[in-house]
Amino acid sequence: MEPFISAIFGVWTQVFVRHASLVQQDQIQYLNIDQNITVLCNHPQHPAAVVLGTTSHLLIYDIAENKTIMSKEIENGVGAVVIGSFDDSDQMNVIVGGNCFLQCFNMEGNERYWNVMSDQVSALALIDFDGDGHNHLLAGTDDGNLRLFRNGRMTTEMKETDAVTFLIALTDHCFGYALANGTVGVYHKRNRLWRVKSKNQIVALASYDVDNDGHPELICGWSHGRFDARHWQTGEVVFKEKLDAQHSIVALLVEDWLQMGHAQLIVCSQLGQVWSYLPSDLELTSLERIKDEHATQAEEEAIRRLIVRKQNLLAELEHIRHHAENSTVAEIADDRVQLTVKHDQEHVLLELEGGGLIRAVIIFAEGLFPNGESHALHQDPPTSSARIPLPVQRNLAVDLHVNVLLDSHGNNELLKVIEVVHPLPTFSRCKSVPWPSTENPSALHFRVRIRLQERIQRIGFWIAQNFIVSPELLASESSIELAFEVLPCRTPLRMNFLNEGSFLIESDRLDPVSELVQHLANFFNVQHLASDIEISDHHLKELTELMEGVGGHQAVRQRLTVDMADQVNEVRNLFYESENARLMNDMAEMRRSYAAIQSGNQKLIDLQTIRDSNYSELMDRLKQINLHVQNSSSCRVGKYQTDVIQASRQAIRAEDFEQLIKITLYGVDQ
Amino acid sequence: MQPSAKLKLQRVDYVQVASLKCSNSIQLLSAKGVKHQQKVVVGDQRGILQLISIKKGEPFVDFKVELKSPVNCVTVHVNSNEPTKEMIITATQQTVQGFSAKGKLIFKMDTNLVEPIQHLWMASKEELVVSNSYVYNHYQDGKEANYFLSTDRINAVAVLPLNKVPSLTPLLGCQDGNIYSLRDSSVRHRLPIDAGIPTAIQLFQNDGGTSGEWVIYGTSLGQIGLVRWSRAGPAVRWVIQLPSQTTVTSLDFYDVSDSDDGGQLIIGREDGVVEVYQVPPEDDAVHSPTLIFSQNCNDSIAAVRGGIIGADGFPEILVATQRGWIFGLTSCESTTRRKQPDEVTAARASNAHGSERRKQLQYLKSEVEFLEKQFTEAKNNKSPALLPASLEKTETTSAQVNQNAYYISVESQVSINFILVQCDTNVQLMDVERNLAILSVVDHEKNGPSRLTATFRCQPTQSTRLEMKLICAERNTSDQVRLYVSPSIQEPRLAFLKSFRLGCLCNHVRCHPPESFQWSASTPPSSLTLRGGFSQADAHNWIVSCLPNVPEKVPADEEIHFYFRNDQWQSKLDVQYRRGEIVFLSDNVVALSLCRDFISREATTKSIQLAMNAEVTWEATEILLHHVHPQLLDLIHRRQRTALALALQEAATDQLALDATGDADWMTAELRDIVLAAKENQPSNHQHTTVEQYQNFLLDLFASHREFLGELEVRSSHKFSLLANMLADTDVRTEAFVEQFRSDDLSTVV
Repeated sequence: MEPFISAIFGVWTQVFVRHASLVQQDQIQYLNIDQNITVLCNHPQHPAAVVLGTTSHLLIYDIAENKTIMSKEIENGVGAVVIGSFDDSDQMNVIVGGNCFLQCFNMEGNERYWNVMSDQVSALALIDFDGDGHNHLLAGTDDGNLRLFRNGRMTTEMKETDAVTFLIALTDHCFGYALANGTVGVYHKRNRLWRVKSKNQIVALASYDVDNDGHPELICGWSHGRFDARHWQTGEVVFKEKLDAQHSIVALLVEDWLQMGHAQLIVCSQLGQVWSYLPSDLELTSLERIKDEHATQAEEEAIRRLIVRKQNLLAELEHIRHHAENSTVAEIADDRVQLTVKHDQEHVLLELEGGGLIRAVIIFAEGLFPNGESHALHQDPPTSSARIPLPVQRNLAVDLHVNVLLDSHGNNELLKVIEVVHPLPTFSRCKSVPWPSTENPSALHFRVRIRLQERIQRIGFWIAQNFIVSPELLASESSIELAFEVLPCRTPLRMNFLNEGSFLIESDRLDPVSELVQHLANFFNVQHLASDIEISDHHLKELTELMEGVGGHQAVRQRLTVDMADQVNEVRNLFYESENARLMNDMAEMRRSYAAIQSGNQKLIDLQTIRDSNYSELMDRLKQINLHVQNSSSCRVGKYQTDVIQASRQAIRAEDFEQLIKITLYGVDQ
Repeated sequence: MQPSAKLKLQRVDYVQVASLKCSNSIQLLSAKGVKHQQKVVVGDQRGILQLISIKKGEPFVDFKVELKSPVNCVTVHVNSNEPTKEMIITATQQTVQGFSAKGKLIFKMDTNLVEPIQHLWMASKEELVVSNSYVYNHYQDGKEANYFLSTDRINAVAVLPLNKVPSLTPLLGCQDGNIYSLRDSSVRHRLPIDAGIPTAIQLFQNDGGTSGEWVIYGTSLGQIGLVRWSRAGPAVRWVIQLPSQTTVTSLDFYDVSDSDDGGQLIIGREDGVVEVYQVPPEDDAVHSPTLIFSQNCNDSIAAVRGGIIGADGFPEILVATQRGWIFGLTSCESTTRRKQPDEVTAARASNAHGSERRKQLQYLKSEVEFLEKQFTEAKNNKSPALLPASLEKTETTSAQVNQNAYYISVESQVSINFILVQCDTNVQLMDVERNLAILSVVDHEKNGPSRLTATFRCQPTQSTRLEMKLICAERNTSDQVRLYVSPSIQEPRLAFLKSFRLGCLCNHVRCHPPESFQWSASTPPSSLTLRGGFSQADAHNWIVSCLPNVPEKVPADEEIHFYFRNDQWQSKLDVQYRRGEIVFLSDNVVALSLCRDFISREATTKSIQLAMNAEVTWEATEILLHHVHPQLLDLIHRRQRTALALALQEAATDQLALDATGDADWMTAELRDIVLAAKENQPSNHQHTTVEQYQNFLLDLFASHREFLGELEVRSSHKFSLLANMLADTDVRTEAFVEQFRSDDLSTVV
């Protein structure tokens, strides 16, 4: 195979390829695509091929031969793409993730596998996370879930605090991830090894062995024009470089672009500049020197830190000695204050006993606050209790770091700080409410019935650990009845457990139920779990309407496309006419044609606007359908879940919505 | 003069002392021979004076004297008769003491100052100049000869060299933005500085140049200027503006690059940057200084000194930070030996160096462990509530107004855990790129009376310094901005409260009379006179709460006069007050109205009756309108152009593929100009003023103007809403707006 590749850059609707081969030195080749490119990657086995994802298509294109290898319409749009072999097959596959779905094709373009996700898929990677010698699929979504799939089944789900933006396979069953809030970290199998957060955004991740120690480092490109390499195990920065503070880095690639016999790390900046780096031991770039200097710096840094520590200790000792001599001790008020922290789902309540006033409260927690990672309350005048609004939006077990600033006596400039770590259980957004007194079982849209052979005490234990409920509600020996409101929309949710293992969950929405079932199954280690979903008539109608609307939208879309093509032709003709008129010096005719062009143009713009809104509505509907499949399938576990997904896919392809609703509600008959 | 090659200097850490206050905390003793190592004398805020010499990169203490109270100033005096015998002179509290190079006390003198001495200058053996925050004193042979009381704080003191300028000429850089020269006990000349407040004064080339009259100054807004201070008065030769507008804390001259054409100017700044400029000789009027070195040291710089410290023959910049770090920026390349041609020896040398370092590391580790043990033992014996010493003098916050934004920096001896910023008025908080901390701002609508509540989490980054910018509109209240700084210390956990005031007219800056301050006869300013039974101290307190950079202390004069300008609206304000009367003069009636609201409210709380008299002139308001309204139009226009440029740029990128030259020739010249202009001034985020602010100001102006003329309920009038509509319309010309503004006909409908 001729050494060929070439860096590929995607700009809006263009791809340009810069060749570095000897024959075509510094030649730039452009490809024009008529849709917005959303993702781009290269083909591991076919060096001249480019894998492109656009808002409606997946395209594999051979640049050298100038031919399309594969083209597939993805009406949901492509959000992420990865290519390679995974699970126990050696075949190459393309996995596409988009609007709440995952889809896998083989190289002939046949669908091999389909799955639903909880939100837009934003990152995909193939990695051997369980050590069985095969790569498996790893997907990250906009709602901050990381899911590991194995043979088409989701095996593990990990919750992160923000949208997952990048995933990259590292060595030894590890993978690196990046989140939209500036967090970067590494997981080893299912355990997080480390993470760091910065105020800057991560714009690219790569895996590259910078120091040539046999293990790749996690390379991170930042929006402020820096990139750094972190050790995969510890997160320690082993190398960093700043390119340009004004302009962000846009991509990091690892490829032997310059044909030096060793892959280079290629860094592209927003200005269109491209740098390439080699690892230190190859002595071809400045990396070695930098690394050496870095080691020196690190040691000097350590020395500096020790000197500081020594100086500080000396100062402290002297200070203590000084105070021992003169008895005027500048003591801060050491009240034995007692702080109680409570969380009632919507507020954090602080109560201070033993004197002392709360001046300010700062709560640090990740993924809870809409803007930033903390909430602060300042009280003027200070009081002995505080109430901080803290609505929980997601199911996420987090620790609240509550910092309370207390007024100390006699010194206005100095405040005492108490830090309390208050853990929030997983389902803390479910607010416990009294069981409705009037018996009205049909009031809620969904009723999910499952059978779970567990003793009621164990169920009670699970509830106590993951919900905020008063213990009295769990005291009953025979049954547990609980009613909740799920924040932020106050969606009612009711749970009813009977001792013989019957379990009924009711709610107006399906997503809290599905999360409950998944968590429950995970907690009791249930491999397979079937369930029945009952739906209110009203909601059934809504669902049917939602699904039937898709066909209508698609028809409109096609008609609009035809209309637009006609309109474009018309404008083009008018343009020729106007040019003719201009050459003939027929000013009146020319003016007429220009006016016509303008109105034609306006019409085109209008058509485009209609098409746009139609498209976004269609996208929304498709997402709703996918979400419905996702939620209803997640009300089951194991093979029941997989079966529902597979059957749903069949139904969607056949556009048999009646069947789809039936499958999602009642499962697949065995 | 040839533009010199860039300097290359490397940081070498020497020692840490307690925190250092001013640029005269460290000095160098002169060396025994040319290019020999010099000794460093340091006086810190814990009251320890020490002489340190560096031996093989390790600090060695020659002597150490405990002076009990903070050392604010250290100078070295060389007796011209016995050049080898140098005297170290220190200022602690009200006492001046002289030590020999062996640490022996030579003389001691108690001054009769009340506050601690802040500045000290030994002009000759007989002539000694000391000053504290407000008082200047000149001692001749130990007897008080001259005395001067300044109305504003004295920030810097220098004296022209007596061997060249025989009459004693002290220069005082004061908080009011002037440098004064004194003759005996009174002001002789005054040099107003146009950008900021003078914070450092140094003799040119450390000796005042050939005539001894050349002086260099640095300001709080990063301006550096060379002045010839002759008998006839000061004349500025050149002025440079440092790229970042932060306070210059220390200046020195030294030939760091061994270039033989005079010493280079070394600048230490508050934001931690050390810069070196190649400066032309004082008689060279053609060239201007060129930057040859710049390094960010991350800590606020207290002092910089050029000399030979670490190794013989290698010029070096000695830097002391306010946190007490003393380190060198040396031209000695000992740590980069690998660059030498002989690879083998180089590698060995580097290894040797490395192992030496490792040994040092090991040694330090054991030492620290030992001390830690000792510390915990000592601590267990004492009350656990004892404050750690490292906390006692920690945070320094500084706030200054510039471009309508308040720049605040927080620095701590220990690393910061978090900072809470709180203010009860509408303030916009802006992060600074250099910060590592993560900022989260709480949505104020859900948060009660506090309009700004924001936190900076600094935890894992170990940062000790944080910067932020606050943008605040002028309003009729005076508010406090509170910063709660919590250092990352486990036991006891504390937070420090630092607060500063945002006055009602917080975007005004104090300026100099009368250069920039003349009311023209044709456009008399509007005036506001307040009379009542208040004291001068009351009036002064009100003015302090209203306006920035007014000395807290009540000046001694019977009638006090201050001048301000607002750069945003280019308006001026003139305040005169004495017992029972305050007079404001301004072309900006909004400012007058805000002052009136604030002072009348304050007076009511003290139950003081106020009689108000306002005279509003249309001419002054008209000029302001003619200035502000076009700016508003320009801003809107610029905003539109930026939006257009974005679209055009996108179109141009599309076109790129079709046109091989990459030139988008389908654009008209005008469009191309727009794209080019947009490319050039991309980072134009410095402009904090928004269209809304302009519109609000113009409406405020109208309301205040009418209210002063006696109209009631202006804001609910038809005319008011009419003007508001006009402001939103970009096609309205300034003349039409001014006409509408002025016209009294309320029934006019456009």
